[in-house]
Amino acid sequence: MLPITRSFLDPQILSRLSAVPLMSRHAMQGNISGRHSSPHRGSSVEFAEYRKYVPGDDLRRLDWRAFGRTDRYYVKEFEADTNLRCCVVVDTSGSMAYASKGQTTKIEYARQIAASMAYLAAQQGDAVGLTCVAEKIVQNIPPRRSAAHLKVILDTLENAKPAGDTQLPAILNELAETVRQRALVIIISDFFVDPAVLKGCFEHLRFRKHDVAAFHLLDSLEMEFAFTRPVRFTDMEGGPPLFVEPTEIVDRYHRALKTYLTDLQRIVLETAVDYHRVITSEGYEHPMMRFLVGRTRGRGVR
Amino acid sequence: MNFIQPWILLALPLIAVPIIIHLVNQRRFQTVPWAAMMFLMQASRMSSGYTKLRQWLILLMRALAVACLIFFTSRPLASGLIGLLGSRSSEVAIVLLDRSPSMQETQAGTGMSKLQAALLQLSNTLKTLGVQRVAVFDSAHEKPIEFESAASMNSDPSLVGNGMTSDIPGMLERALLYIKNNRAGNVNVWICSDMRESDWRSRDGRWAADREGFIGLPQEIRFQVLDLGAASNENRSIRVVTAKRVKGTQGVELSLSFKIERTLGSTAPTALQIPVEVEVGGARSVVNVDLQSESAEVNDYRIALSSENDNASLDKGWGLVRIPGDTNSADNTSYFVYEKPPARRTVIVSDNPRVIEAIELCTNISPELAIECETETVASSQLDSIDWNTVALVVWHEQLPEGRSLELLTQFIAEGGQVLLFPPETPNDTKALGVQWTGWQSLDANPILGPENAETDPTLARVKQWRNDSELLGNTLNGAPLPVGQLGIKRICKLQAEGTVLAAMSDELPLLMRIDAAGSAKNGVYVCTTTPSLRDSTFASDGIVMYIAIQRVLAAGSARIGSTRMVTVGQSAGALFENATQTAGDTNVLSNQFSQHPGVYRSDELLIAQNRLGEEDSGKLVPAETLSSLFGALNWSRIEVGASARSLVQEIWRWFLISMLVAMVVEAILCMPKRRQAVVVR
Repeated sequence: MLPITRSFLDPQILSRLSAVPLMSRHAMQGNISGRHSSPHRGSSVEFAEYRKYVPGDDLRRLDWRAFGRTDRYYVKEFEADTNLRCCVVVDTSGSMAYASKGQTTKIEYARQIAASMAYLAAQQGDAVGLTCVAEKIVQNIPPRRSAAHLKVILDTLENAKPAGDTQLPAILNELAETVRQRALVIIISDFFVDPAVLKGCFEHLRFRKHDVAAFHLLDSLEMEFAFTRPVRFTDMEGGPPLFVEPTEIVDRYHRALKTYLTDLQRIVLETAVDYHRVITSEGYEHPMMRFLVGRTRGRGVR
Repeated sequence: MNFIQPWILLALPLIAVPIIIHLVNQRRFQTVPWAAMMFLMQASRMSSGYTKLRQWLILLMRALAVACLIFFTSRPLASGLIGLLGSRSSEVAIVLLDRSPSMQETQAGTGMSKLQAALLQLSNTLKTLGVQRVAVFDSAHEKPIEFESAASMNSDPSLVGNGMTSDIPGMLERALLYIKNNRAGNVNVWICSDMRESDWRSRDGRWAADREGFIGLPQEIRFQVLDLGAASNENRSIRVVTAKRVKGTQGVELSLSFKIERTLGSTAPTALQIPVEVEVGGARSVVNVDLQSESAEVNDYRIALSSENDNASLDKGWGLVRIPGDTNSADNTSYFVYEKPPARRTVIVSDNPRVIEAIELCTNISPELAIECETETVASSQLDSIDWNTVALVVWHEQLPEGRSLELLTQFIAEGGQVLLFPPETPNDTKALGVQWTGWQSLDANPILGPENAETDPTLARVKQWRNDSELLGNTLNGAPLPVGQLGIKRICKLQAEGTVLAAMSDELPLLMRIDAAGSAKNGVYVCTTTPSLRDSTFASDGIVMYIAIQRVLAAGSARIGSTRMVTVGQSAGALFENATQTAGDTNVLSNQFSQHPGVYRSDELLIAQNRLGEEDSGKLVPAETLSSLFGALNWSRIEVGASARSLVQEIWRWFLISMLVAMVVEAILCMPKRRQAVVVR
């Protein structure tokens, strides 16, 4: 494997995470043999089913024992294992530059998750791609398996700068159409968009049979809103500023936040998105470990 | 509400400090780049509701706390109706104190008299207001009694109750003079009284002068009337009307007339029997008097003066009547003296035999058997030869006196003698005793001048009006009016004089006048503008009126004769009590205050019974409208006070301190951060 020298990659964490394989929750359509289940029959050791012989079938795969018992020709089929196409979508809009005092910025946090995910996938022979999105697709690296490709991805992550408005829903719809075959789509964003709009995007991705996972990055200050003095909030995505007396608005802020989170939780359940809400003050190892372990439990589901 | 340190109120604009801090704090905002703007936008679109209210409440509480702090330090006073006293209080306060008998009424529950309660409340009030010097005016002292501290008023023996009816207009007059002489600054004048008409004398002409005097002062004078009259309870009083030594069926007897009155206060009148104790010469007897309504009168109650061992007591003596104790002990006793009535001696100065004859008929015929009447006719030049100590009345029908004659008459009048003036046939320009004749005028029978029902001679003018409540022409004891209207007047002599008209032919033509004297003392000079001569009037032929009038003025004049006197407190000359000793009465009274207290006193051969003024017993109060008109444009207020030891003004800074603390606590509670529900992360 390539030597890891990126600031957003911790070798110790990676070594611990490597103990758990990155699995897909659905059957993947890879080009080569891999460790993920495929929708097609293949030559693995895992029996799948019997099928009636049709002319043209390879006679070597005819099950003679079944012929002896039933006097009929059956072909024995086995599960096929294939590789995974992992598309990491990183939100690089202006709001991802936010970090409360002493905390990691969301973009930095997203880099850590994305890079770790790319490393893990590449390590197990899966194809990894990266899409940086803001107002549009800022960077799009299609999934590939080569080791050199990982370096490109890491370089792209390192150079990603948060700027501009978020057009995440439109871009997710676009990706749903452009990503070929079944893929694992990992979205890392703060998701500051209307949950109802997000629902459409997630449904679109699911319709295209992608396995969708979402890391929702939130800052602890965004959750608590612990301001005392009057504050002039400037929109990091270029919107108009807002003057606020925090003591007056804090209750309503929490009401709005709670409503949003509740709606989002309901939507990800309805659309079967592998959703992980992450507070950036928390290290990224635990959320990733939760993500990986959660997927191992779904092994075998095709 | 008033303040002892009102200048601190200048800091009231500091109330705005919390608001200014709030506004400045809003200016000192921090700018924070923020990602989750969508929640802020949603929150700002939501209804603020209670949050806004809470913010305003917090601001209000802060402003309230500052306001309470300012009020607290300015030492507020709860003063009810006192007005802006505290802010204008000066170091000197003037107190007009009513020490009359009615002020000695004891209030239920406290055991204090109205006077004591007034003094206690006033001293506490003045102490609270920080008054350094107090000048107290009363009717007993010509000059004010000055105190260096308000607290010392309570225990001063010179301010205890006495028997004198107060003279509020007189006290105001002296207070005005005091303010002028001392060049005092803004002054608060406190009038402590139970609002009796007898003390306030609302019809007194001095009120107008007092008002004008106070209005003319450059400094501001504020009057505080402490009204103690509202808390009056039922009280009964007794007063001797007459005490005469008469010859009765059992020998020498004392004829006593007395009157019991009661003021009901808020209670309904109930019939009751009052045991009246009569003490004469050490012997006591009790007579029960039924009191059905507000007053009861006992006339001619006879007590035999049979003294076997002491013949002197038959001729002269003293006694008292007493009723059981009630709320006011100052009016439960009345004193009297009696003696063998001296001869009523009249001196007629006239050279008209017809007039002399008519007057002699009136003066020589005694109304009572026991009273002897004598008449002497002299010329004006012979006045020096008269023993004036034995004369009760002088009837003057000559040119008005001059020179020595005037001196003698003036001295006689000053000692209580009575003078009745008739016009001479040819009056000259002399002016004496406040009278000047200007000339005769014949009167025609005119419907305007007389009643239409003239019975005897329709050609005679009749008396148009007369005062049936006056001393000379008043109704008889049984209430019947004198037949003044039947008198025919042919001519009258016009005059220039200031006085009270007792009878008149028209508004411009007085028939009988009492000449006003300087000051408030009654003068014994009466003027009749016609003569008893048949040429002038029918006084002689219709002699009832003249007889009664002359006997009445003779009776008044005879009071100065003899060795006993029945006087009213405050209306007798102070010289009467020089070298006097007390025979009966309050033994705590100092000898120099005998003239102020009821009792029986002996001065040489003179036996004096002194009682309070009869009007004290009536309980008639000054109506609010009258009081308002008395003060007119003066700055005054009326405070009804009960009999308690509380100060009229009280410092209420404690309430503001408590309010400030409450405001601060409420503000702290409102500012306390709410326990927020944790937002679930997963």
